[in-house]
Amino acid sequence: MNAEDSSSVTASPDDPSSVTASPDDSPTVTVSPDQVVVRAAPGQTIMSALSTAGFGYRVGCRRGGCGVCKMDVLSGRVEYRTPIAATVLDDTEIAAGTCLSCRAVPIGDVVVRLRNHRLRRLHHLFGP
Amino acid sequence: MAVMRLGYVHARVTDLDASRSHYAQTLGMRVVHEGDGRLYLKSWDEWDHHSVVLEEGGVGLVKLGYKVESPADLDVFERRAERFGCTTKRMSRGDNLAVGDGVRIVLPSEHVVELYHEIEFAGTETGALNPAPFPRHLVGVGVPRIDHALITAEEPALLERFFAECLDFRPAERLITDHSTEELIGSWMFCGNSPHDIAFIKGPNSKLHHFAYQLEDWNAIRHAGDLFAMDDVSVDIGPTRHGITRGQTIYFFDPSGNRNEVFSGGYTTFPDFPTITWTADQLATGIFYIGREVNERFTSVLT
Repeated sequence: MNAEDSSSVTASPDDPSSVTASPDDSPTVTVSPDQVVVRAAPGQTIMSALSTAGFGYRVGCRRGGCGVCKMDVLSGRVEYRTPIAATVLDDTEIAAGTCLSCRAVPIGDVVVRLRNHRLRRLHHLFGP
Repeated sequence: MAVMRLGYVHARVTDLDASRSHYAQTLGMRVVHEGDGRLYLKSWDEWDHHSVVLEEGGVGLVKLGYKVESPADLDVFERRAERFGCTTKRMSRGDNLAVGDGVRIVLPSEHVVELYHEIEFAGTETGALNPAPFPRHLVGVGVPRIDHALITAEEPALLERFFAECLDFRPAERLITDHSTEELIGSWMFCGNSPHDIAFIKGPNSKLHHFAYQLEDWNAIRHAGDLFAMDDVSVDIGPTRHGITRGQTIYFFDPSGNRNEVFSGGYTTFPDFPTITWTADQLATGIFYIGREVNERFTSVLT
């Protein structure tokens, strides 16, 4: 993660709102049901976009090996720019809308839902 | 007659190029051979041909290789493993690059262990004649050698009995539920003089928790941590200390999500080492002595 990867927070669990105007047309990641919306820089994963915006959730290896960070994609599409082990995420799961958030890169706007846990704001140093 | 040490770890990785960068550039192992979708790597203070094999496709453990003291040991350990009820198979010279004849054993935990005696000698990078204390061309962490592996097993007690009865390993430390039931949750076993050459905790069969490199000391652990930050390595926890083994540690993940460890310190064991017991109520202190808190990843992230 570096400065080029930074995404901008446009809403928070404390202050849900729609996406504000952004200088770029990078994809938005909306996390349901909190309606947190962050922008993902080109090539940035869902996990990285949420992390750089100051949000945390239950993650594992962060490298596609464990499946702990799986999410449901409610709308939109994602792609993988690194190979994913079929033992971690198989075609049936992908077809059913499961994504591996540490490796999934949004193609256009996506809406995702966490499983069995909620998004947490890790700090209040920046963002709305 | 004895098993001497963990000789090689053969793991699966999703991306060989990313793995090369991690194991060769960040950790500083040397690629000694590549081909057929595999990388063979060696650390600078190891003298055998290789100690890590990375195979492209998937994640997790393919097998662990343990080197035995003499060729005759293979017959004895093979007979014992068969009597124990394990599936065994003879492997021939050439089945593994640079490795001689051996015995392949499927453990009660469904992991595969290979016992072998012969492997091509490559020599350490400082040599055996008036050597310098370390090679001055080291890259990244410059790991000297692999040390141990931790795997998960549905029945830790059965696996402990296998390693004790068949391979003459001894438990340095045992983690039990409590003194009333004494159910085994984990065991750290040695065949040499370190706190552990193999360890296992309760969990699904056939999974890898981590494999570890031994570094010189606590400063080397901190230095490794600095390099992990520079190279954007996903760190699990550390630097910290284990209560169990007393070792100093950082857990981190390779680019495929396999957990690695850099480990230093720990005590010296001998055949008469009195086994240490930890009870589950002190689990957090045993695993991470300073923070006394086991993060959720420790038991949930396996490959």
